[in-house]
Amino acid sequence: MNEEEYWFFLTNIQGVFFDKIKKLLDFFGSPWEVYKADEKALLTAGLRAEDIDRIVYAKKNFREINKLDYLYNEGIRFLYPTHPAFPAKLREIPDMPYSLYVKGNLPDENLPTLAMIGARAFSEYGRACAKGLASDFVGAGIQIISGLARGIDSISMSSAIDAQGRCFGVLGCGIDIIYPPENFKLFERTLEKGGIISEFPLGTKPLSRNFPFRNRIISALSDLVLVVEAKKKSGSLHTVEYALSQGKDVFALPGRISDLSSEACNALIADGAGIVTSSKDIFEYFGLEDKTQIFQNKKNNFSLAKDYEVLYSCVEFQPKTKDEIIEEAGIDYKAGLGALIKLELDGLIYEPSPGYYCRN
Amino acid sequence: MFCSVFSAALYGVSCLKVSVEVSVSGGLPNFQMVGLLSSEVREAKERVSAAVTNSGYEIFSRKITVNLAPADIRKEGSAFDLPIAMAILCGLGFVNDKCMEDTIFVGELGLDGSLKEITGILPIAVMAYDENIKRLVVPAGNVREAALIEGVEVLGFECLKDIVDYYNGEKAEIVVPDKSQGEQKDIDYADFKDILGQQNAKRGAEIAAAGMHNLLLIGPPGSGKTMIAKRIPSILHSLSKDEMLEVAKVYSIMGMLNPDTMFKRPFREPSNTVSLAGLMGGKANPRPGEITLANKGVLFLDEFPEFRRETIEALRLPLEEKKIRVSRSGGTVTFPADFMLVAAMNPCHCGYYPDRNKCNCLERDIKKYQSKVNGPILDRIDLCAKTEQIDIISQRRSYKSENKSIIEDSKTIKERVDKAALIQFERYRDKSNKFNSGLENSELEKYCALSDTQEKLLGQAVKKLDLSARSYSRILKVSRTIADLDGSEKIRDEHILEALSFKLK
Repeated sequence: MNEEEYWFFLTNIQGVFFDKIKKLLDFFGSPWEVYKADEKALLTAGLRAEDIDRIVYAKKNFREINKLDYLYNEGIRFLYPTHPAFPAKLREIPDMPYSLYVKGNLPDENLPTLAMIGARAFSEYGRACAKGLASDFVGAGIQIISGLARGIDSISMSSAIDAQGRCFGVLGCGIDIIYPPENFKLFERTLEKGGIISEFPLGTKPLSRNFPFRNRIISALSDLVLVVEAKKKSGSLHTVEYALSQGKDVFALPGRISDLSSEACNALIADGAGIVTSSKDIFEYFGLEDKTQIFQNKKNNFSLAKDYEVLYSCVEFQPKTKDEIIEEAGIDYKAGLGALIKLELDGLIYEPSPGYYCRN
Repeated sequence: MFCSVFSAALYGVSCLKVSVEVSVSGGLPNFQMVGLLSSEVREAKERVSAAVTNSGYEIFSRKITVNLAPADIRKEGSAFDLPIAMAILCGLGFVNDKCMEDTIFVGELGLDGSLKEITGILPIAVMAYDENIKRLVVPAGNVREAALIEGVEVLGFECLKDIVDYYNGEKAEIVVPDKSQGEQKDIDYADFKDILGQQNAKRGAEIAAAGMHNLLLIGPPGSGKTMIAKRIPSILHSLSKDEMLEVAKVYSIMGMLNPDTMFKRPFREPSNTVSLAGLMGGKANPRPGEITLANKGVLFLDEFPEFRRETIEALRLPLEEKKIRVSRSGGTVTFPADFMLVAAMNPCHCGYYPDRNKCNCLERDIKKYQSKVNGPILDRIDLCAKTEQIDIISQRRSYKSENKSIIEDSKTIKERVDKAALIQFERYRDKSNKFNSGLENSELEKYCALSDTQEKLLGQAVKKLDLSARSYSRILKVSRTIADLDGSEKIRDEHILEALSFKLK
């Protein structure tokens, strides 16, 4: 057995997870010592009887447990802390993962790396900003790291991919499981330039307890964490905590104080997090100058007929109903309905939900 | 001695003439009834003999045989009590049977000989008219309903003895119809002026009413979807007399006819737990379901996605054919089902999307919720309007301070709808279909002609907004209706744009 196999053995014992692996390594020093240890030695390490049984069982049946060939065939790399390709940034954190399964590439350690995270239930404002910012960032050569979860994560990543950027997803389940299932396409597209990373053994189901834990990898791999949109008790705040404990900076996208979906972001800014008013703020943080910034709240540089102009100015990033918009614009109702459709056809606004309009 | 009188049996919404034959002869005393009878008709035997005896006529010990012909049609209901009693009395010689030619008898008897109202009088009266029957003898309570059909003399009685007295030329109490009734009165509908704001839904309702388009209302809970739907009958084109009779016949069968509100367009609101038979019509002897009760009116399905899938699917055929065929062991019955479907739904499961302060639904769940009503049924809904949560207090304040006339009442809207309806009636005068919503795809070119630039505009919209080929024709039809509301012969650009704004996703 080689080093890789010993590490695979140690990290793939059924029922023995991070804390117990840590305990074993602290006591025995290395995976092969654990492998060599007999029951008596394991007992002195302070393990419970059922865990010892599991280790012994895994040792006996390692032939079946060993999936390294399968990983090789699937193009999945198995990395462990002493592996030369193991990301240096992860070695620095106290709760470093003992295994990494990597499909595609790992983030380039020399490039500026940004984590974009946020709520699964997002607002149209969150969608528009995540989309616009991500596209600007990758255009400036920033790598994006995210959790490939529903909502802001997925939006940021797909926008980054659309802009031909590098982005990386860190999973909370086994790398052979696509979760959420509707992100099937996004998984494949992520692999084109970026990669997918998981610390969990193959076949690990997407259990809710795994997700906050993987967030430490997201923050560890990036130089900066940007919270796009988060409610008060959002899971994104786990990532923020990890980031702060790892000494990383945190930025947040401000929202209106009346929007619960931006509550945590605004609170973070109040607590001293960086504020993102445009993609330039991030460029400056990374010392990237003169980068093209497309997404910004600029005055319209296209000309519209008067009614359309008035109407367009009443449409915001937050969805508003047709009635609200037309009333605010103060134009004839029937004409207003038609004009809104015209604006939609011109691609200036879109309808996120029947009867509502947002700026594109 | 043999005697026969006429009565009627209901089948679906139509009616058949039944002759009640009685043979009274010597032999062992016996009372027998035949003719494919349901149990309530078989029980008539007991009611009739008690009623006859208690009215003061003695049934001598004879062999009495009653037959309801034609014998191969199942007879149901309690309307046969009276004809059976009359036939027996005639057979026993208490009444002269010559008087009873050309008369249909219907009515239920109490044991004391009193006459009780029955359901389904109107179709019976219609049948009597069609079959050239001169007279209709009914319980007093049914006189008003029966008299809706002109050309048939209606006689109402309180009890059996009065009828016998009348036929024997003695003094008897008769209830005759009041001629002044049956005229169209002002109908009391819920009015659109009660609704503040909701421009989109109101305009959607107006267009839908003008072209009899089916309508989908989307909006958060408590935003007034039901209020809007309930007021749609008030702006629909008034019922014609023929339509009124068609509607009233159904209500008569169900015992729900109120002669005072007969000209009211029906509004039916079945709950989402309604059974398939309850919606479509059914039972062993088919009875009209909710869609038939909504005939010529509005069928409102609130919380549309909560309806069972097969229920929604089952609406497809009646929406297309404007009638429903119900097949049961007893045969197939066709009920009318020419209704306007108004469906209402929340934008997501909690109902508040895209208000993220209230809604926590995931995008996937929202899509899933909205797609519950996707597919073939949406292809039959032409318009989608939005109701919105309104701030009642501020709305009320502005309503009070500003000119009150800004809120249109139903009458004003109805005037516009009527105008558009008349234009359509004129345009489709040679067709069975009278409204834009019923246009066939092959007729679109003729009636909804567009200029080349308009074709291009619509083509661009369909592409850009990712609309299906079916929605293309729906938008054309709605554009036609908007043009009609505008009194415009040609469909103009603004009509197309407005129609597009009521598109379904």
